[in-house]
Amino acid sequence: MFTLLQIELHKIYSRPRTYIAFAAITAIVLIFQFAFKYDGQSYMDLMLQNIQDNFEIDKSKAINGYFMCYIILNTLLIQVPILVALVAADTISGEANMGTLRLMLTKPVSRTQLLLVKFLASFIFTVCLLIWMAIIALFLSLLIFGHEDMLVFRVKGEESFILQITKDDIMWRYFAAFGYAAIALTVIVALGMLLSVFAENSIGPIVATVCIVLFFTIVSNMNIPVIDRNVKPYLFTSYLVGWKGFFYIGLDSAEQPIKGSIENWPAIQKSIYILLGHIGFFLSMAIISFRKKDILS
Amino acid sequence: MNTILKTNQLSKSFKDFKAVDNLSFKVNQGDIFGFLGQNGAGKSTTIRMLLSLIQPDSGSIEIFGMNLQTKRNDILRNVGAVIEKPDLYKYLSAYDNLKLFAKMSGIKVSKSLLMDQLELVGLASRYNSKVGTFSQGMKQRLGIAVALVHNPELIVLDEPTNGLDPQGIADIRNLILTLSRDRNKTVLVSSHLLSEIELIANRMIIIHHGKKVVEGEVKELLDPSKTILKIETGDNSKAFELLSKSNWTKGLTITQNQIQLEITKSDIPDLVRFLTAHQTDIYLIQNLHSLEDYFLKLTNPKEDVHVVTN
Repeated sequence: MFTLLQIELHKIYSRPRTYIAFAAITAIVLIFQFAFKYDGQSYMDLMLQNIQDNFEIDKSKAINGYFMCYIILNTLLIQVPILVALVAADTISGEANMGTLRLMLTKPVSRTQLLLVKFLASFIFTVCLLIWMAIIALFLSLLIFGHEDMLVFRVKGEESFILQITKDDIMWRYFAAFGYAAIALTVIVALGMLLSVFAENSIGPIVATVCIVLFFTIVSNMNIPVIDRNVKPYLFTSYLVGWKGFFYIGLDSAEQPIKGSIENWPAIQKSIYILLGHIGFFLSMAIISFRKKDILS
Repeated sequence: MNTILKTNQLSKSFKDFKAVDNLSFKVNQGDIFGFLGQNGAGKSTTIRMLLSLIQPDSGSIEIFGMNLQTKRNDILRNVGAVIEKPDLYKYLSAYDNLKLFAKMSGIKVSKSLLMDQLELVGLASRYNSKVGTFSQGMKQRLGIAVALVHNPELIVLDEPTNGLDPQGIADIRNLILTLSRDRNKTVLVSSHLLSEIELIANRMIIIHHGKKVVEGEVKELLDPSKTILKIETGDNSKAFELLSKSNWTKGLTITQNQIQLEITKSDIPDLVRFLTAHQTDIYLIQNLHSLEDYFLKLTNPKEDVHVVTN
């Protein structure tokens, strides 16, 4: 199994296409950092325009490494599923398209084993992508913008407000958030692999995965009560942004932040279980379908 | 002679199209077994079933005395295959491709082993070149190296000379002969060209519309004393019925206007006597002489051939 995993990782990292995702993330993050370094105040003015009268905020400190990473993750974690789909939805269909799938399956390796190894390799790719994001979005931002307390802008129902997290209470939240993001993105990996099993070329499953994610994300973001109640709970995309929960700090009765706390841990736990359930379902379906598939490519 | 591979009434359909129909044959140890049929006859489907790429609808496959369905991995450890054109990873070098598939075969990989294989197929000097820069012939040779790297007992080559120039075809042919002669490998090689099979195989099968037409020793099938006989009678259906119950059922087929069968020349008078004794009027009796004529006739898509398998 370990040898097979090595082979799969070797294939993934030998392909120039793999690095598109890393290059895209790097470019976006660097643009963000450049823009905030030179004109971050305008952004802060815009964000704080409604509450400046109520709070005294040192805007020069508000734009710091932790805040930058939060802003970048907010933007990137919607786009990253597309980058993950590029690799995951190509795993089986890409091999079928190249004609290498039939050669692989004439080797003494079971189809279940092969699919699990490919899933694991895609998961590792996803984790590497997140680690790279952490390096450039968090650690590079900390180098450029420094460490300070972090402000989190939050909209809850009709209300919008700001949470402040002290700088010594932030890093663990990022590790937890990246861990959550890894689980969330693994759902996309499993979905991409499932669709990949049915196709003989990469384009179809990649486009299908991206379309499903986009469509579900749009529906997940609709603020219509009937959809909130009856549709959103069943869409995995509703849980993709659950990582933000780690930054919603718990408040005491005086509305003061409680260090080291999370406002709604059970909700995060539930989201993790739902995402794991989706991974299990998509992966099982992929294995069942792949085991039955006639290799005609 | 040990039987290495045996299929029993193998069938496979794709929706309404019956690709393989009750196909039974066997390959003996050390054979170069020719698997002959026109394009679309069911060769690739059969080969893919032998390699567990396609699940048969019915029938069974035994390789090395084990059932493919239950002992797939044990069997495939000793099988090497090239299916149609060997597509490999274009972005990897010849050496890396070979290494990767060798590891998948579960063997201990060393540089000398890999270089020996590349040497065998004449690619040692290009070991570091990306496969994307290779010609079709070079890819084909690398595909064969991939098939051989784990030293399998049985080698399955599906149309290995497709798309090759004459020199490439000769190289592959010599390689197959070397594998059989010097390394005692069993080779199953498919082709749509009788001339190819005739040059290398000791046993062969011809399939048509997914059914077996004939199976046997190439020498025997191409023996000039044996012939394919074409017969036209007053009532072909009745004659076909009679022959089906006689000793002359080998290669027996019926089309709209004629009956064909394989026969030893010295048996022809007996066959004529047999038919006339059963009140069958014979209008035409003709030797088709060679198996090639027979094969070409058989694979003419305009003819509707019915086959009695034996």
